[in-house]
Amino acid sequence: MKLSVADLIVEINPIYDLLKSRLGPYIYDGEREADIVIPITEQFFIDRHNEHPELTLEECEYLYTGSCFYTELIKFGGVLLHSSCVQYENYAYLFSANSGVGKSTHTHLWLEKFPSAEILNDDKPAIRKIGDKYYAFGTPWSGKFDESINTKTEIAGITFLSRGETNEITRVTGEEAMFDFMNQTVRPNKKEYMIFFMEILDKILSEVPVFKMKCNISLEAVETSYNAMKRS
Amino acid sequence: MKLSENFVLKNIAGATVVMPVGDAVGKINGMIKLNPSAKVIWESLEANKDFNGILEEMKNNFTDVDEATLKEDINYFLNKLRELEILID
Repeated sequence: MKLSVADLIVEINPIYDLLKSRLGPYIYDGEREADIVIPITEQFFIDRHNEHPELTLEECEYLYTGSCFYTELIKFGGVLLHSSCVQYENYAYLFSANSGVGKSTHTHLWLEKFPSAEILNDDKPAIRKIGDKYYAFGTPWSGKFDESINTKTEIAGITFLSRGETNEITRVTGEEAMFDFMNQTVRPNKKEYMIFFMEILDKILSEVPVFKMKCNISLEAVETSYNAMKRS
Repeated sequence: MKLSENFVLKNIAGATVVMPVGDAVGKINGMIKLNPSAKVIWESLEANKDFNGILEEMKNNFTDVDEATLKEDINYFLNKLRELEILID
C-alpha cells in the first residue's frame, strides 16, 4: 500500500497489527510514484526479535520500519527529532529531551492551557523544509501511544528541555544546541546519508529558533515556553 | 599518513564537526568538534599532505604563532588521531 507521510509517498506492506493500526490516516490512493520504499520481510523481523527478545514481532516491525523511514527521509531533506510536538494557532512547537524527562508532560499541559492546541506527534515528528519554511509533520511512528495527526505545520521553535525547580528559558545558538539535537535523532551509518544529514542539521540549526529550558510541571511552565517561542 | 574513510567533516551552525560512519560508529560513539587549528590539520590530511605540507598550511593560517608551537600542535593532534584509529600510517 502507499502512504503519504511528510509530503512523500511511502510504499509499505505491513504484516502485523500494531503498524497496520497506525497507518489509516496516512493511506494514499493517488497516482504519485513512491519516493521511499520500505522493504519488509517476515524473516527480517524474526531475526530482530531473536536479537531483542524483549520486543514482540509487531514491535520489531513498528520500530524498524520507523527507523527505515526516518533514514530515507534524510535523502529528501528531512530528519526526525525525538520530541513531543504541539500545534497551536498555526504553529508547531517542539520539545525535545531524553525519555523520562517530561516532554510529553509539558506538551499535555499546553492542551490544558490552550483548548485549541493539539498534539501533532508525541514522540517522533519529522522536520522538513518545504520552500523557505520549516514544517513539523505527523507520522505513523509516534511512540507508545497513537498520538499523531497527519498534518504539516510551520515550526515556531525547538526547545531542549530539562527539569528544574523554576521555569527558565533561553534562546541559544545552533552551535550550543548541536549536541542536544544529535542526541535526539537517528544518525545514519552510511557516508552518503551522513553528508546529507549534516547539511540538513546545519540549515535547521542556523535557521530555526532554538531554545533550552528548565521547567517544572505547571501551567506557568507553558506560559514561559509559549511566550519565548511564539512568533510575533 | 591517511585519514580513515569512515569520517565526514562539515560545518554545522558555525562549528566544525567530524562524524563517524560505517565501521567507525561502534568505535567512536558521538561526534568530534574541531578547533580552528585541528580543522586546518584535518583538511591538510584530506588533501594528502605530509607533515611538512601540514606545517606550511598551519604557518599560512596562524601567522602569529611560532614554528615550534605549530609543530607541537600538529604532533599532538596527529597522535590523538592515531590513538582513535582515525589516522592510518
